[in-house]
Amino acid sequence: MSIRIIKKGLLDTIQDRGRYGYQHLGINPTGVMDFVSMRLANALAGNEEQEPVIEMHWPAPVIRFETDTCFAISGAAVIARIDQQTEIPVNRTVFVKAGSQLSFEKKLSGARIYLAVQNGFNLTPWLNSNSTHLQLNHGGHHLTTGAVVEFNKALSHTISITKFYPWYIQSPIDLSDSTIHFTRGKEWGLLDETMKELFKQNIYQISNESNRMGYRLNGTPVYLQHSTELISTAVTKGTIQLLPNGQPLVLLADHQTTGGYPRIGHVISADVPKLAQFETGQSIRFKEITIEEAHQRLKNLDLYLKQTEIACKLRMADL
Amino acid sequence: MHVFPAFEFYACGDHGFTLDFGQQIDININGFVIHLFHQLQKNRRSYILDIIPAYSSITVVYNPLSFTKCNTNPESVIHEYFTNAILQTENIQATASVDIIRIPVCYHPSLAPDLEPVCKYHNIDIDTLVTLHTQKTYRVFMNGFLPGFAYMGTVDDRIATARHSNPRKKVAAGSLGIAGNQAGIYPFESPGGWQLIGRTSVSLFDLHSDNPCLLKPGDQVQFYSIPIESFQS
Repeated sequence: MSIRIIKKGLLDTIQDRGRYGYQHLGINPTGVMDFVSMRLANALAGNEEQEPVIEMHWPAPVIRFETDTCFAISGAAVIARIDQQTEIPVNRTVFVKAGSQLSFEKKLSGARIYLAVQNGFNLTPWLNSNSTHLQLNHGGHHLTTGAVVEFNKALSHTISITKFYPWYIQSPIDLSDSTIHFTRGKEWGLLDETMKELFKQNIYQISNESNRMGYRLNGTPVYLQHSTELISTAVTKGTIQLLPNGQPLVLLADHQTTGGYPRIGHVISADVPKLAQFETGQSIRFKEITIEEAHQRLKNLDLYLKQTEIACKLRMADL
Repeated sequence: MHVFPAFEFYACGDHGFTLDFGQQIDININGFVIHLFHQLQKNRRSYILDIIPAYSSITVVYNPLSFTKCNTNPESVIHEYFTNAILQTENIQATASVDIIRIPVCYHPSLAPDLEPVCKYHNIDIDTLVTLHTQKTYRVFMNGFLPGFAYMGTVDDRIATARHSNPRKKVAAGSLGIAGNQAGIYPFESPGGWQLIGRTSVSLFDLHSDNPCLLKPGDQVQFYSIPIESFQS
């Protein structure tokens, strides 16, 4: 009743929505980079939305299902196969028999792939979360070759051949639109009008120094009217810090809890999953909206995901 | 207690609000921050994900979706949450006495690569540095940077030293560093730019405890010198 990593990928970890409630101790929340794809994978696997999943990067791992399994993959658009034959579509519910081997052949777009298995993984939470804390190498599970992750529960029926449910779901993440929405940060007002305009007009390229801690961006440098050093305050997921070299750094899942760089803006919560699916070398543009609009966008996204979750539940109950 | 200091209240993206007392490192201001932190924790609300005190600010991280059902405005709700905590803080008469956490430190060049350069820079010997560093009690202003890392102050001006302009790629766990007038101990091996003047074998972060950090905001800390023979890494 488990999966086994036959060959590890670039970075494969167990993640959930994050370890909240401990940032006052310097313990950063970590968690999935793209909560949208996590929820889609869970919905398709018949799980509750917060069930821990495996987050994978490219190159992706080779995984063997040691038991009959119902699973789903979501996130990056990939060509995946079972036993190097049957192609496994993303955003579909898949059933495979024990001994099946999942490998990823090609990635078309996106940066992160999520795998959910029905009934979830059997894990030992640390401080109420199963997210892998990479810096501490604790909590969740940083998966390497040979790693085994147990399931909570076996399927109620046996599987003899690879099959899919006859429906798929559409991810609300649209990577063809490179707009990332932001709200103003505390130090936004320290930019003069020209610099504000430049920040909004810039086409920012995602630097190869980007990772789960944050995305470093490269564009025409933007400077404050007077360079300033701030004493440390809390920073959160999505905070856009302006580095002394005039380039922005967007903080993501593994960000530190506090920081002292000027906070010129914050990527809205609804756009963090999309940003997390853009890869090194790709370009994005920022567009300013109000906090009310940001909340509306998050609400709409949540509604779409809730409807998808309900639809999946009803369909599965029908079968 | 003193008059409640002036502050700014502003949004930290679409999921946070910060109460900020301005750009100052001050024991009284930080005292307000920590009182506020405890008040907010005591009256924790279901929409709160985290409450993060810093030197002179405190940030609440919330779940925006908690507000969609009841159609209330997070800003006014959280503003009121802060206001109630501020009113409670004003009633506090005096700072509660806190125990002093004593931490053994081995000030030896073999364990602390910046000990001799820092002494040389200030033109003092190691014994003088040790005396100046151990005779003070330090306050934990905040945690941050790494899990369990405590920003402590204030280091005597006679030994205060700016951080390295090029951070080290690897600083040993337990290293005691100074950066300007701040002191801090690296709980784990990590990159870091502080001037390393000593090392402790005390564990600052226990992965297997529900209360993992030795040092928390508001704690008082004193260092005492131990000989290299007593140091166990």
